[in-house]
Amino acid sequence: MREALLMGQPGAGKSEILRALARTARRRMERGRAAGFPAAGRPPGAPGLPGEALVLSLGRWGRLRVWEVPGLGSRPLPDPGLRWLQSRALALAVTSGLVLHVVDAAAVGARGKEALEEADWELAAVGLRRGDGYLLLAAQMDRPWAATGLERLRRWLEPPAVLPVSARTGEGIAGLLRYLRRVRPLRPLGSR
Amino acid sequence: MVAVSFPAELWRRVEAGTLSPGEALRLFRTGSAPTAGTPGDLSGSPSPSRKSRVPARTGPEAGGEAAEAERLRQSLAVLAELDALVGLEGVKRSVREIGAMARVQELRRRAGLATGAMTLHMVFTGHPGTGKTTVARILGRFFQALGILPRGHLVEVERADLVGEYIGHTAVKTRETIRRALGGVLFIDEAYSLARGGEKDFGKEAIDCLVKAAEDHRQELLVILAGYPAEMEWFLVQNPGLQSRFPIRIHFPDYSPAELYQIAEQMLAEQQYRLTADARAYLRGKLQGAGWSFAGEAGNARAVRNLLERALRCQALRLLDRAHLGREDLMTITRRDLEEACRSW
Ligand SMILES: Nc1nc2c(ncn2[C@@H]2O[C@H](COP(=O)(O)OP(=O)(O)OP(=O)(O)O)[C@@H](O)[C@H]2O)c(=O)[nH]1
Ligand SMILES: Nc1ncnc2c1ncn2[C@@H]1O[C@H](COP(=O)(O)OP(=O)(O)O)[C@@H](O)[C@H]1O
Ligand SMILES: [Mg+2]
Ligand SMILES: [Mg+2]
Repeated sequence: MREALLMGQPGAGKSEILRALARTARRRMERGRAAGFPAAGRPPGAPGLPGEALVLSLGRWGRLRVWEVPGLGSRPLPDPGLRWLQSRALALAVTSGLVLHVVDAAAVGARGKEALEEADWELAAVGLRRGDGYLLLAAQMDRPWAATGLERLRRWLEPPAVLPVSARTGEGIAGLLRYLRRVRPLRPLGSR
Repeated sequence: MVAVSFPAELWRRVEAGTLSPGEALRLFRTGSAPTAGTPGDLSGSPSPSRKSRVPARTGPEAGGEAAEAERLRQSLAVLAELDALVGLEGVKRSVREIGAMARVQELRRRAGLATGAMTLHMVFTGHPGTGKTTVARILGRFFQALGILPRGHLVEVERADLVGEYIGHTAVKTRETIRRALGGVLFIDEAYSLARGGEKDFGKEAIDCLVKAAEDHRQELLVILAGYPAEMEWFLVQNPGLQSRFPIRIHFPDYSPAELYQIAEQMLAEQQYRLTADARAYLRGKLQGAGWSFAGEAGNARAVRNLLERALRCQALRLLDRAHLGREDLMTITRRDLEEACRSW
């Protein structure tokens, strides 16, 4: 199963995007074992884990699991279970995972570079190398300053691909879903 | 040790809580293993800012007073963005007045009070690069925040997007363009070119179609006709029907040399560059200098942006054969960079 990782700062809008995607796809979120989540390693026992994922069928290409990575902030999270998920996501992000980098465009429009974390700059750098394996989601486009933020994100992060979205108005969500449904495995099926 | 455990060691440190995700990614990029016991070592990081974000947001609010307060907050935020533009004092005042008036009308309408029919379609006159598109984009978001436009996005078009090549084609094209703009702002650049070809031209058909849409969709579409002052004057005289349907006129004057200089400083600061003292003096001189006019048709703020973009490229070239570049070097634009940029004008 391929993994698509919603990654970004706390509050960037990851959860809302995932919810909007599920609504648009008319699919319920899968939990625990049904989601095949977590895929490997020790089960994160800590409460408050996302523990759920949106599983999309890619037809003969298998399935894609979309899930939210706990917010990438400036310091380590206190919860060990969440850190475990982050570490797994980072390993995937630089290899076979599809990185959906979520940035609050309105915050960037209003506060400029201060609204970006080191993790944002670094994820964008990963994006430059990953190419197809990376998509920047300029989120919360319905809020004021977001258009300015979008323009800045294009200039500052130079993402290979960017999609403006708003979970509130639904802008870009159907497009994101179409994009995800077209995702192909990077390696032949069965290699993972 | 590095070879064996990299990058697994990085991810393990994230899990252990001794490395932040951003740090781990940076170390992965630079290919360094974390130094034991110094997870906070950030020397040499290229990230311009690692300040933690201040959560300052409000949740989704349903209707009523809370929604109205949120609207007000959003519209003030958009106005702050307008205020951040250099100069344009008259334009800023007009936008504020129109917004204030439209807001009261909208609130009166919702309160069941009598409202005069308010037509918000506008004509923007001014030379290229005087900020017409920039202000139109802000205006859309301002009206959206005020609850006057549902979406507030900007669709910028020109003659070619409206006028077709055969009979019937124009109406289809124009209608499609209007459909895209519904809920927001339809910005027609160099609108006078629609009347270029005279009576038989399809441009005439596009104008009629626009006028009709501007009336029919008054509640959900703001149409802005933009162009050079003289040509727009002529255009409106040629089409008297337009005058009453586009009652608001906003003129964008050319920027003064001092304003252009300020715009340049703002653009550079935004991209984290700065000028040496020498370069500053040179740029001031250039912007004022006779025979080198940025005003009028030369492109105003856009010409400044283009000049600066060339200067950045000249800087990059200047640094090409230098091995060790510090932050300072990477941020500095010298007089020579600007001179080169002016030469390749
Ligand atoms: N206006 C608007 N608000 C949004 C949008 N998306 C998210 N928000 C708001 O932003 C806040 C954070 O959104 P979440 O989706 O929970 O953020 P997150 O990235 O999952 O945050 P963490 O789980 O803490 O890492 C919430 O208050 C949302 O209501 C959007 O598209 N438009
Ligand atoms: N007052 C201003 N302050 C800062 N930047 C400005 C200002 N006016 C214009 N600019 C910049 O100049 C460029 C051209 O502006 P634009 O709005 O496209 O002009 P127009 O539509 O009148 O041709 C844009 O990059 C814009 O950001
Ligand atoms: Mg969340
Ligand atoms: Mg323009």
